[in-house]
Amino acid sequence: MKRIFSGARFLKGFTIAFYMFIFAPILIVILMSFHPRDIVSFPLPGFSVKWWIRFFGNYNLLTSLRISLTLGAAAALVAGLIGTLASFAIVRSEFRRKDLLNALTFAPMVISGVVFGVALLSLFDSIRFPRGFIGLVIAHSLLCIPYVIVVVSARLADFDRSIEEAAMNLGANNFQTFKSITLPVLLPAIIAGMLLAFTISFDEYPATQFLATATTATIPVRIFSMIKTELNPQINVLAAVMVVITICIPMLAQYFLRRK
Amino acid sequence: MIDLELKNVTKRFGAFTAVKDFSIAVEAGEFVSFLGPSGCGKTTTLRMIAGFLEPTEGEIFIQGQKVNDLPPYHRDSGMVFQNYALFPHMTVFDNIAFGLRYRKVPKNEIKDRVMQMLQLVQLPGLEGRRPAQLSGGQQQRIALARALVIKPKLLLFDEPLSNLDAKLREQLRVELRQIQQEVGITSIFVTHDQEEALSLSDRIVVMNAGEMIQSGTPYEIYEKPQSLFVGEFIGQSSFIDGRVAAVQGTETLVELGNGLTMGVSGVGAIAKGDKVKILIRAERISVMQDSAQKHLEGRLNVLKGVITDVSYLGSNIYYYVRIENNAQFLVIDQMGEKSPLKKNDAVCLEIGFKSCLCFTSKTKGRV
Amino acid sequence: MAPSRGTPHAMGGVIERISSNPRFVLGLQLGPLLFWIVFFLFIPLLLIVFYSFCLRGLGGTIEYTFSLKNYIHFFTTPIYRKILVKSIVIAIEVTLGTLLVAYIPAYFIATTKTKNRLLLLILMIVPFWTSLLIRNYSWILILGREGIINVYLMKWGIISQPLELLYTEFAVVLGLVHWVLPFMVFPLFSTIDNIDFNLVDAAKNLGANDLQAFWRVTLPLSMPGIAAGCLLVFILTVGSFVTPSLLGGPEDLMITMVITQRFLTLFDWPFGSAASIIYLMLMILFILVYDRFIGLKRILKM
Repeated sequence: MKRIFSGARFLKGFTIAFYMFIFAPILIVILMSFHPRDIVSFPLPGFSVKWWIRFFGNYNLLTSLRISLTLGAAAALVAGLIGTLASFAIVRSEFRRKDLLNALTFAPMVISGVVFGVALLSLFDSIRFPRGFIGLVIAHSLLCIPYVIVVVSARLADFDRSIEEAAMNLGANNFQTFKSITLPVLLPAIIAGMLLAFTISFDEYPATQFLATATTATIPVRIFSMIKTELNPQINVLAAVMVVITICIPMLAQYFLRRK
Repeated sequence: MIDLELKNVTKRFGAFTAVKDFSIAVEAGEFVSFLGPSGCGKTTTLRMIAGFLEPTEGEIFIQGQKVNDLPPYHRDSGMVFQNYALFPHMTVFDNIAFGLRYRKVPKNEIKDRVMQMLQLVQLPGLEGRRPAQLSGGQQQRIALARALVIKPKLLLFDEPLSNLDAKLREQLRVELRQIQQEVGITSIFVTHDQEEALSLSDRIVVMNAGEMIQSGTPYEIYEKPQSLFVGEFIGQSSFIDGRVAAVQGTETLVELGNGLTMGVSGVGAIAKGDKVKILIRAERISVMQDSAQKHLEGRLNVLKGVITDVSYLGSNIYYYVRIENNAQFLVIDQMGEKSPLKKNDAVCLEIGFKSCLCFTSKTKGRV
Repeated sequence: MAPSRGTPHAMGGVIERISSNPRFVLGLQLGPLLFWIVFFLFIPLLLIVFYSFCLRGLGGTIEYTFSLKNYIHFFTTPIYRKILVKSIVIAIEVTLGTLLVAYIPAYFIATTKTKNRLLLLILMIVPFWTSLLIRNYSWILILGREGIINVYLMKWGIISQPLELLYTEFAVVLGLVHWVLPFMVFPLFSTIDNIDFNLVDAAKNLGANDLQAFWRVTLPLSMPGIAAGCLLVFILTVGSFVTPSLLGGPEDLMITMVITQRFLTLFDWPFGSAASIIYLMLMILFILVYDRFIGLKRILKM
């Protein structure tokens, strides 16, 4: 039996404080989005939804929200496709230099987004490829691929291959087996990986700052400049929207992962 | 008619030879078990028959057609896997219907045949369930139904009962045999469980280290093992080393050391002075309290000893006996209504000539 | 898939034949990833290696020469040396701070009852996926001159002047610790969870008290998790940009901020590239040293 080492109370207290620490900033932002005044102040002087109403009337912000959502969806799709295909090779095939490929795949996860951003900016500039949506999709998808691979290859490694053999034994060829057995069984993990990819993209700023233009400013780009220039409760609403989106989507992902 | 034939099949993985020069011909309707310890090549052989592996050398024929180059999905064999391998995202109905759909069977017929199969495996009414909602035994029955419904040329079993608990395993074993005989389908059954192989098979193929060691009916395999390996692998036995003292008529006299001798039947290629190993089935020895058996004294194949340990197992009892030359014997005694012997009791062991199987130490072959 | 040769008997469609050719299948699986990595990661990085040896021309153009001037300039200018050192110092502070804060909760989760454990782990994941920008913004609301902490401390009369919490190194470290916590908690949790606690009981049975048993058994056995967590946290922190930009003061510059400034405001791409390469070299050096002394293989297995 496992047992908690002595000072169980201390452990419990510390853990509770720890959870308060990680949740405090998130809760405070949501609370502040209902601030009634033009300047953020404490304690909350009242309760109002006026900043929420203003948010839904702010064309620029809504445009950015739309860009962020489409960008996230596109990046998730591309990363989902590339990452899923690669997961098959990584889990199921042996090939030379597999270690190297693994290291390269995870490089975007550890290299600073800033360096990755300037590198891509240099590439696009040198081949005269205009900055914009396509470039952002490329950048974000590359950043998201490792996350898709982590989720999908974990499920694939657990995959019971005898069900594929059973399908072939019963008359389905390789392609039919993939279509009727492998893909459906793997689909929840693929969707989960793509949803996580979406949230990565949705919050990406370090690389995005180099690649976004005035017409493709994403929500993080807006928020960053707003924090730098004018601290007003409008950010709180934006922040609350971000929190809701970036929390709900991974929860959805968890739901898909748990569904077998 | 021969349903399955393997001719000199060899499978190598790199430098490792998994199956070596394996040949067999299986009659239509025959139930053949591949029996052996893990890593003996039995599953590799089965997977070559199913088409998941290609033989490195040799040929495989199913109903006279050479299938070496035929992918698994064109071989028309139904396989039952160790871990059931039901499709987790499909209902029981869809699992069973899977093979029929790829055979372009019309919808109505699919439904009839699936329902028929559920009847056969005694699970009617479960067609709407998902595999995760079924017990292990139910899952394996569905897997069997799924393999049978396509009316395959061969039925292949890959240790299908080993994931089930003991009671269920026995029950399913009986059902399996009944269904196989009812359908009359040629079956290959891979197992490491000798009881399974003995009770199910028309013929057992004992394998070791990639080679076929012996092939025969369960009776032959148990009573007439051709090699020490088969004798050791199947059944519970004691072994005793000795040297041939004399060969007379149909009997051979073996010197056990310490002045003891034993007579064994069989007079193979053996001469006086050869080293031999005698195998004695534990349940073929009768054990008696020493004091009560004065009349047996001095008779051949009656050995004196002391009980060193006793394991009481209910239906029978295991005695571990040390005889006078310090060799250890295992004796399995049916309890009957006797009261059990105790540790340190002096006993007499009586062993029939025919129950002593003698193997030469040189070739490990039976005399 | 089981390797199978072409299927002469099967005159099925092209798809059937193609999908059973293992080399084609492998190419299909890895092709897109390799294309993405080569064209959008490898070549761009080579390009900035190339730029780093060029010079800034008039009006933000690039003068294509071969020169080490950018590197020399970086290492001879005190401010850049200071920034490089500061990046490393902050990363070390964050790594140690995170370890201190994360170990106890990880231990608690790993040793708690299964039912609560799942909930605690899920709660741990939630902030992990919450926008980093937003969490940093929230720290501004909390730490600012008129932020929650100062307002309440003054209201309760504990202080008379607002504390300078925001735009300090403290704020940067706090924000970063908050960000990287899950990267420390999860490796710690998984190693502690794998510890056979019979060993701890055995130690106690042999006469160790609780603390001794922890110090001599539990802690050494959780070393792989500590090593993995520290590696991740250090690497993420050295390359962080958002948190130091939003929570740091003018003194708290990190190397990523130099790169950004050179590319976006000063249009000095060659120097920015050189700074990027220096950052990458620092990372590679760190990983090599780590591999030499701790071993990467063990981490990659986790």
